[in-house]
Amino acid sequence: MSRRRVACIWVEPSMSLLAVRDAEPLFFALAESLGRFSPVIALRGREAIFLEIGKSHHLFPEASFPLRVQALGRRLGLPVLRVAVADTAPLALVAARYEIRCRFPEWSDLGLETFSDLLAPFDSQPDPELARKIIAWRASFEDLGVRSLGEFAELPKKTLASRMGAWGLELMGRIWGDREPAWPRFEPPEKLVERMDFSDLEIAAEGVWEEKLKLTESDRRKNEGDALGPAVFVIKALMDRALLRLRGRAQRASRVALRLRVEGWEHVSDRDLERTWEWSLAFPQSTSAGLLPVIRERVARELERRPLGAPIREIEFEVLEMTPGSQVQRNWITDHDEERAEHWQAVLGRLSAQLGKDEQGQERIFQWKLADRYRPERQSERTTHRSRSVVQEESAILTRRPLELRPRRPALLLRQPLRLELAAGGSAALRVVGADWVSEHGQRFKITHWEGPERMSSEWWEPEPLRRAYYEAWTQQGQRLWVFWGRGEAQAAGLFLHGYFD
Amino acid sequence: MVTLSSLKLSSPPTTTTASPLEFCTCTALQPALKRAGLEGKEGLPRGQFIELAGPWGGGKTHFLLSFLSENPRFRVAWVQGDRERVLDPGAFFTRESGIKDPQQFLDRLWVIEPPTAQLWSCLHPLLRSQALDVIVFQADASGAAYAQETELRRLQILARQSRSLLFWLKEKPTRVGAWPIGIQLWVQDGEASILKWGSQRSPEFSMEVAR
Repeated sequence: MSRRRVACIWVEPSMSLLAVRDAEPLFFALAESLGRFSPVIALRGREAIFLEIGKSHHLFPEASFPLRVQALGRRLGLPVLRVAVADTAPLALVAARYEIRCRFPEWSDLGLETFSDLLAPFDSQPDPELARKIIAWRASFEDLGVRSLGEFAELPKKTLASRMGAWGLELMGRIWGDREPAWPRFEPPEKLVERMDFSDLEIAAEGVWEEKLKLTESDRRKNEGDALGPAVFVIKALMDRALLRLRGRAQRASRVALRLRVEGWEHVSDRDLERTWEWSLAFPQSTSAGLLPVIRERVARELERRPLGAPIREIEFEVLEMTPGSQVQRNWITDHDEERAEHWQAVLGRLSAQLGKDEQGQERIFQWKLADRYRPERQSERTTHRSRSVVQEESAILTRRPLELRPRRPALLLRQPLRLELAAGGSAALRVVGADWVSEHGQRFKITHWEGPERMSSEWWEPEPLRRAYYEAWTQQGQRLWVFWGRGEAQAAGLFLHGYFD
Repeated sequence: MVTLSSLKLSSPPTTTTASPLEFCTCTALQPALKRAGLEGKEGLPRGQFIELAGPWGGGKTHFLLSFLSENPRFRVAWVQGDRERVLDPGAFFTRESGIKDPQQFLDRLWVIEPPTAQLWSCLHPLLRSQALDVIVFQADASGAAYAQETELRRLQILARQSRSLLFWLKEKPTRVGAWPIGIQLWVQDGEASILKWGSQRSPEFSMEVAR
């Protein structure tokens, strides 16, 4: 039985040499081409690539693996790649990142900052809660005089659970190579290519296109004056074939490319031998009826400006990205709900692909799930349409509590609580009727009635627990506000507007 | 508070909805309909572009929640074009919200937070899909400023074709170029009043806007 061996390729130094726009495609190109060594690949952000090479020892010796990877990197334009091989992914990562051998005396001098690499080897930005915990552990261990990984590894295991909880034992297991987290497997995005080669035809000869494509008289008339010439019929045929394949898989094209290769005549420069156009479609397409006019318009315009210097040798139509489409065969007789739900999922898939992700890398389309947290801004969590079935199984304790026992909550929450200050000239303490309060944005609220307080605090294990007294406040303008007295996020104590009973 | 006592409609209002009209129950609107002399209406007609204006904290969302709780089979998309305020699902799990089965309500509610550039255009595929009964679009002042008359007209046509109800939540009612909006409601102090219904417009509308 072959031994488990994991290789980590630390790409980050090469990435930092490149512009952001160029770095990402190169990183994925490297990850995809590493598939020749092993099909089990995982990524860590845009920093590192992991490969399980234990089962590939018949293909290449382990000692030659770093040299092979570096040669591949140089070919792709990534000159600095650090490669390390170890028994588990966390150890391989630490070895590649800090350029050490992953044997005991080598890593013993490493600092405690490696905790995050060992605990979350596949996340370049670990979960904020775990990151906060790691900071707290490091501070407490450094107070005790434990400053290196070697010193930490010598601590008795039985004291770790009380200090760090389950994470302590997990961390120790990872240091000694006994444990490893599950691999988020990388699968390169699928591409669909349809190509037609004309090198065996006498393209220049008039009538060959028409004969090959069986064009009618009306087709010829339609085609008259078009810079693309009869090539448009070939493009349509290729497009039809590609999109039909997608429809068979209940998918649609959301990013496509067209490539024209011409004969290598003397006067044609290398740059003009191949012309490529790419389209990111706002609405994924499943037929050529919608797609062809878009492609035809742009290609024809550009060919008018810069014509092809020689006859076309090859036409290639490529689908670079696909999104879920509607069901292949619909059941029109029964089960309309299921069909409607599927249609809706397809719409969500397309829209999600169109909108992309937000600044935090989260999906822009989501559903809510209640979480058992005290702090109001954390009482709800997002779930995406992909994890919907999981959501339905889960049910927070809060949602099972009878409605009568639940306190009133505003329908609209502010993402950031707004500080309220007493208007100039006003002199009133909290809960005084008729006082004028002004928000940071200059909104003025004359409070006519107060109700409360409802005291709330965050969980005791949070690094900086919050204590707030919430009030409902009615304004002269007919608004019902949710305000609290306490501290906002990293702000001094005061009165804050946190929501509207809209 | 606006009252439409002076607004007596001599003939039934002409609306731009698809024919035949299909009304969705809305108890919270009944007093306002009565005041406007529109007793025959049972609620909100499908396929309408409805503007729901009023100060934040005035009761717009509550009005919508009570409408949705009366129509429990509706599939809803909530488009949050507001950079400051977000919908809090915790509010559904209170007796005050009037929602009998909040978990079921959450299951049929989808929240969409589009980037600013696609704030309006993302409504088109939602409406075209015909998979939704209600689409709520909540915009802050900067998002509302992008609303062009042609854009509103497009949305009105799409809403009519898909027979979906498109709600636009905002702070101040649209006065100039609001003709594609079928129904304009004003909600303050938890009470709704009608500013415009079809082609009929409240004479106090301009006063309300000025206020």
